[in-house]
Amino acid sequence: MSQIVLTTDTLGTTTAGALEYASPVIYGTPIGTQRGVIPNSQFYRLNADYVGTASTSAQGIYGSSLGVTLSSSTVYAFEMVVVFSKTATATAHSLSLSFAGAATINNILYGGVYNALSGVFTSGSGSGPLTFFSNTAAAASMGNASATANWNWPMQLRGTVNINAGGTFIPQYTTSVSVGPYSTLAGSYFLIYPIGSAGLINVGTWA
Amino acid sequence: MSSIVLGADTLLGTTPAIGSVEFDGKAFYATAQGTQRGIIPGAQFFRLESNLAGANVTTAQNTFGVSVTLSTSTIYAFESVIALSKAAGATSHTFSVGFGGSATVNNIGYGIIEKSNTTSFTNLSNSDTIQAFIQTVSATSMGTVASAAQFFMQNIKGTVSINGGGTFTPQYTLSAAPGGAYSTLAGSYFLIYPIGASGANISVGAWA
Repeated sequence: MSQIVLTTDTLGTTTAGALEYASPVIYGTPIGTQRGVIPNSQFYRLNADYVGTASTSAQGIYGSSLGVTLSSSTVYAFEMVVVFSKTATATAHSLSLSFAGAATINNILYGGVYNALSGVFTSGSGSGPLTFFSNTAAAASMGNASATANWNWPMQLRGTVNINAGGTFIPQYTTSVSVGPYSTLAGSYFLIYPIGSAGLINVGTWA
Repeated sequence: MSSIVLGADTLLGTTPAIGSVEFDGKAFYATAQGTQRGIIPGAQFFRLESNLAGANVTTAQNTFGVSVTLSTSTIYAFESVIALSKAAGATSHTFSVGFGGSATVNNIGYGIIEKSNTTSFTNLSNSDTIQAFIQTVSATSMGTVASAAQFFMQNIKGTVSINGGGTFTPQYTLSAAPGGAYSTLAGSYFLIYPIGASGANISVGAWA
């Protein structure tokens, strides 16, 4: 047997050891009545650098218009680790993040740490990590890059989004000036999983 | 079939079968490759769909308005993204984070990255970024606020070893009543899931 298929049903009384399915989420109850969401992540990871476009238009982080398809009336949690890097165009500019696509959004909140570093990208620490938070899918600026050809934006962000109408959900970035282009470096990833139907999410013993 | 119920059994010391899904009474596990057994997070999840208004007080306040119930002698991993703001009241006060509830704690360790400013959630200034690793559930100050408009954004990740089971409550505390209350914003969330029994290192998989 290589798979088990559960039929969706209304969640009933919790039982320790139970694995359950009530669309759109698979749940597990490891202890007592502590039913929990089992993350089933739609996952995208770059295996090679993705070269973007020198443009001031919004563009996909992982592909020109690469996004994930999400369902209507569903809340998702997501996480992304990304490094943007460029080696050309010594022009100061800002960089913004946004989400686009056919899906419509009731609300969103995401944030985390990032940095804005000059020089050729190298692994290692960067002083003064910065923070970024946004409660809009529209473009939100991460700040400015100096008039330097070599520039990098490493970031780790997490959040949740409440989807109204289903459709594609496309992570994007925009530069205020046509520079670079930036590349999204290999190893950058995005994962997203459903945590419940649209509305307040309360799974487990929260009371 | 909409559910499968596994009976709890001992895992440690046994060689996992590839493709297996297991349950030991604390957590679910899956082994997809070799002996690389892994925890399947079963996260108790709370996410605010609308803003939650707090109070203009100095007592500890419940960040989400709810508590989660945790079990005796169990270690949990948790993660949270929280946005708080207020628009009124310029009385100087410190803003502290912590945890309350009836559960007792053996130990806790969590990292917090917090950005605060007086303009907006997407303000570009990063001069007020705090990074800390906190090893107590007691209220720990994130700094002083003396403006009417204030915005806090927190990114938290950590683990807690529970001794006596009970409720576990994410909280914030103000050292003085500012003159206006904070609200926890829609989209803020907290998730927590068991990763093993307390009293020892958590080591799941091929760690050696």
